[in-house]
Amino acid sequence: MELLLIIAGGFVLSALAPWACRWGPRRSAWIMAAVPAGLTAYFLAAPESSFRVLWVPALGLPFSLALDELSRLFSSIITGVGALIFIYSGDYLRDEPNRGRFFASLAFFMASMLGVVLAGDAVTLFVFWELTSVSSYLLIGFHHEKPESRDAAWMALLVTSLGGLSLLAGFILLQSAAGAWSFDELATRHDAILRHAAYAPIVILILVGAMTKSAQVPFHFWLPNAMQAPTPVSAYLHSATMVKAGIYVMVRMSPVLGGTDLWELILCVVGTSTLLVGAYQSVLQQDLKLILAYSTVGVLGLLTLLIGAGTPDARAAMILYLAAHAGYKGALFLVAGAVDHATGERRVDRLGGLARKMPVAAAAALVAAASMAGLPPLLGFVGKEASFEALMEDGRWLSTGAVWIGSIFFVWAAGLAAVRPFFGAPTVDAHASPLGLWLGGVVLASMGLVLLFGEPLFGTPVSLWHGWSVALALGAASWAAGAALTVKGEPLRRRLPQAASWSPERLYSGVRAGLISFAELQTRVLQNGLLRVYLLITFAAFLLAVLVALVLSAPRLELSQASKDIGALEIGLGLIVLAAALFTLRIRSRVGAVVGLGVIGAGVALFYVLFSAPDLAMTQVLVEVLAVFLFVLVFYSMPRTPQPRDPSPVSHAILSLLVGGTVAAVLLIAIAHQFRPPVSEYFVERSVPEGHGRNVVNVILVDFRALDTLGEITVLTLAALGVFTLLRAGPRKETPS
Amino acid sequence: MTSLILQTAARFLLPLLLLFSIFLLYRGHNEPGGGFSGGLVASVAFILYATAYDTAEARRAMRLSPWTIFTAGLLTATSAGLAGMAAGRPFLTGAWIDVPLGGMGTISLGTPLLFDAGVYLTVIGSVMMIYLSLREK
Repeated sequence: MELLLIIAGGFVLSALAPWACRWGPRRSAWIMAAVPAGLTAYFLAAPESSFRVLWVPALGLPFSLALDELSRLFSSIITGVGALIFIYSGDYLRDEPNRGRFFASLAFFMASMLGVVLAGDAVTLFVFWELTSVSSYLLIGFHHEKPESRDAAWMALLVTSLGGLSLLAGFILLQSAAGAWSFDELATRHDAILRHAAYAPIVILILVGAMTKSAQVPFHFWLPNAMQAPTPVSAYLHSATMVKAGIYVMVRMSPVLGGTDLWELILCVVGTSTLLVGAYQSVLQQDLKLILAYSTVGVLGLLTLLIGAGTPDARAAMILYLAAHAGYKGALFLVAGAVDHATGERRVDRLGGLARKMPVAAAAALVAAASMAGLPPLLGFVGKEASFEALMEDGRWLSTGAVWIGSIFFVWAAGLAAVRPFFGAPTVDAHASPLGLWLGGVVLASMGLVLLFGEPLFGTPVSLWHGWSVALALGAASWAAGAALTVKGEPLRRRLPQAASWSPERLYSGVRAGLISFAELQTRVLQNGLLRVYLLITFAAFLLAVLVALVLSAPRLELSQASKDIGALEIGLGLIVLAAALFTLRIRSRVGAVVGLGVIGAGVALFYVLFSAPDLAMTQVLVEVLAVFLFVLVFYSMPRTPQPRDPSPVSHAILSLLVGGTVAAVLLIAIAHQFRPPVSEYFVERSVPEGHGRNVVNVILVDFRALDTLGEITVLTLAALGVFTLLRAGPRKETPS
Repeated sequence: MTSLILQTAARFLLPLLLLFSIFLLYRGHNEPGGGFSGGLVASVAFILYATAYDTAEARRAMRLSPWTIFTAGLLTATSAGLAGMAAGRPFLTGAWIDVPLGGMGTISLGTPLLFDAGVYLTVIGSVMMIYLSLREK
C-alpha cells in the first residue's frame, strides 16, 4: 500500500508544483526536493513489500507494485538523483518564467519512472513506461519555441513509442503463451516459455522495446538529439534514469526469457555494437553534452552486453557499473550545466583553465572523471574490473576486447569533458555559481566513493583489490592509453571519420520528411479549398461504396410497391420540381437560383403533404424561408458578377445522375425488403399508451428515438459554432438589412 | 433602406409568432408540430424583426444571447433524459405525471415535453447564431 501512496504522491507533487513555484525559485526547489529526498531514505530502509489489485477484473488485468532488491536499487537512484536535480533546477532555471511547468513535468516523470521500476506485472510496467515517454517528450521539448527542441522531442517520442508498441505486443504474446502477467509467476514458467513456439517473436519484440528506450544501436540516435533539453533533464532522464529503464526491463525479463542462445546473441551483438559506436562517437564531439550523451550510449551498450553474458558475476558487474555510471555521469552533466551557466560556453575546444574560478566544480568533475575512467579507489574502477573479470571468466574474449577498446575511449572522453575545461590556459570568463548548481555535482561525484560501502544495496560484495590479475592489467592499460590520447590526441581527434551517411538518423529523417510531404500532397489534392471539389469527392466516394455493396449483394428491385400511390397529382408535382431544378441550373443570376431552389423546396414540402407527413412539410417550408434569408445575406457580400459557368458540366451531370439514381435504387430496394412486421406498426401501436401522444412522428422523435434527436441537436449547435468561429475571425461590420 | 410598413408589421408579428411557436411546441405531441417546427417559427420571427430593424434590436428582443439559449436547450434536453435515471431507469426513459386542471380535466406532462422544449431552445439558439454571424460579418 505504501508503494501506491508513494507513486500517487509523486503525481500529486507534479500537480502542486506550478503553485509551489510561486514561493521563489530557490526556496520552492529545496522544498520540493524534500519529497524525493525522503523517498530515497524510505527506499533504502524499507522492507520488501508488494501491492496487488485487479485493475480490470473482466480481463484479468492486474495492477501490482513490488519492492525487491532490483527495484530498491533503481528506486533509490531515481529518488536520490531526483532530489539533487530538483535543487539544481531551482538555480539553473531561476530566470525561467515557465518553471512551474518544468517542475510539474519533472515530478510527473519521477513518479512514472518509479512506477516502471516498482511494477510487479507487465501491464503496470507498460502503462508507466508510456508515461515516461510522454514526460520525457514534455521535458525535451521544454523550450518549445525552438524548432530543434521540438524536433528532438518528437524524435525521442516516436522512437520510444514505437518501442513501446513493440514491448506491448511482446508482453501480450508472452501472456498468451505463459498465462500470466506478473513477473514472479512468469519466472516460474520459464521452461515452458522457452519451449513455446512464439518464444523468438516474444524475445525480439520485448528486446526491441527495451532497446529503443535504452538507446541501443540502431535506435540510439534519439539520445544525442535529446540534449536539446535543459541540462537538469539531460542529467536526470538521459543519463541516470530513463535510459536505464530498458536495461531494467532486460534484467527483469532475464529469469523469464533468458538463458537461450537467441537471447544471448541479440544482447551481446547489440550491446557490443552500441558500446563501440557510442564510445567512438563520444570523442568526436565538441559539445560537452554530446560527449557525455554518446558515452552514455556506449555505457548502455556495455550494460546490455553484460546482461547478455548472463552469469551471476556478469549481473553483479552490471549492477556495480550501472550505479557508478549514475553517479559519475550525473555529476558530469551537472558540472557541464554549471560551466554553461557560468561561461555561456559548452564547446570543449573553447573552454579551459576554469579551475581557478570554479574550484568546487573542478574537484567534482575530476572525481567523476576518475570514476568514469575506472581509476581506483572509485566505484567506476570496481565496476570496470568486475566487468573484465566476468567476461573473461565466461570465455568471452571478443567482448572483453570490445570493453577494453570502449574503456580507452571512455577515458579519453572523461579527459575531454572534465579535465580539459578546467586546466590549461584560461580562455573564457566565468562568474560564480550558486550553491544549488555545484551541490548536486559534488554529491553525485562523491557517490563514487560512498557507494564503495553499498554492498547491502547492490547485493554483491564491493571489493577494491582482487589481486594482480589480467583484469587489473587491462584496466591499467586502458587508462594509460586513454590518458595519452587525452593529452596528445587532439590532432588525431580532428581527423577521425564521422558518422556514416547511411546512419539510422538519416533513415528517420527521411521517413519523416517523406510522410510529411505525402500528407501535404494528399491534402493539396483532396482538400484544395473549392467547395465543388469537396462535394465531388464526397459524392464519388459515396457512389463507390454504395455501388460496390449493391453489386456484391445483388438484391432484387421491386417497382410494384413503389408505384402503388402515384397519380396525376404526384406526377405533375414531380415535373414542376424537375423544371425548377433545370431552371436553377441554367439561370445566371444568383437571386434567380435562390428562387429556383425555393420552388424545389416548396415542391418537396407539397410531396410531404400529399403523403400525409404534415410535420415534415411544415419543417420543410420553414427551412426554405430560413434559407432565403441566409442566401440573401451571403449573396449581399459577394461580388456582383453573375454566376460563373460550370467548368465541366457533362461530368458533373453524369455524377449527379448516378448519385441520384443510386439513392433512388437503394430506396426502392429498401421498400422491397420490408421487415415483417414493419417497425412502423410497433410505433403506431405504442404511441398512445406508452408515449402519451397521438402524433407518432413527434413521439418517435422525442421519446422512442430521443437519443438520436439529442445527437442531432448537438450537431446543430456544433454547426452554429462553426459558422460563428469562421465568420468572427476578422473585424466586425454589420451589413445593412 | 428601412420600411415603415415592415417595421410596424414586425412589431406586431413578433409576439404573435412567438406565441404561435410555443403553441406549435406544446401541441406537437398530439397534432402536427413539435420542437423543431416551433423553434423554426420562433427563429423566423426574430429574423423578420432583425430584417425590419437591425441586429441590435433583434438581440434586445431575444434578451438572451444565442449562446445562452442553445446551451439552455441542450441542458434542458439532457436533464429531461436524466430525470428518468433518478428512478433507476435508463437514460431518456420518459416519466409522466397527470396534472388536474380544475374543471378542464387533466393534462399529462412528461419529460418528453421537456425534451421537446430543449430541442425548441436549441433550434432557436443555433439558427439565430448562424443568422447573426452572417449578418454581422
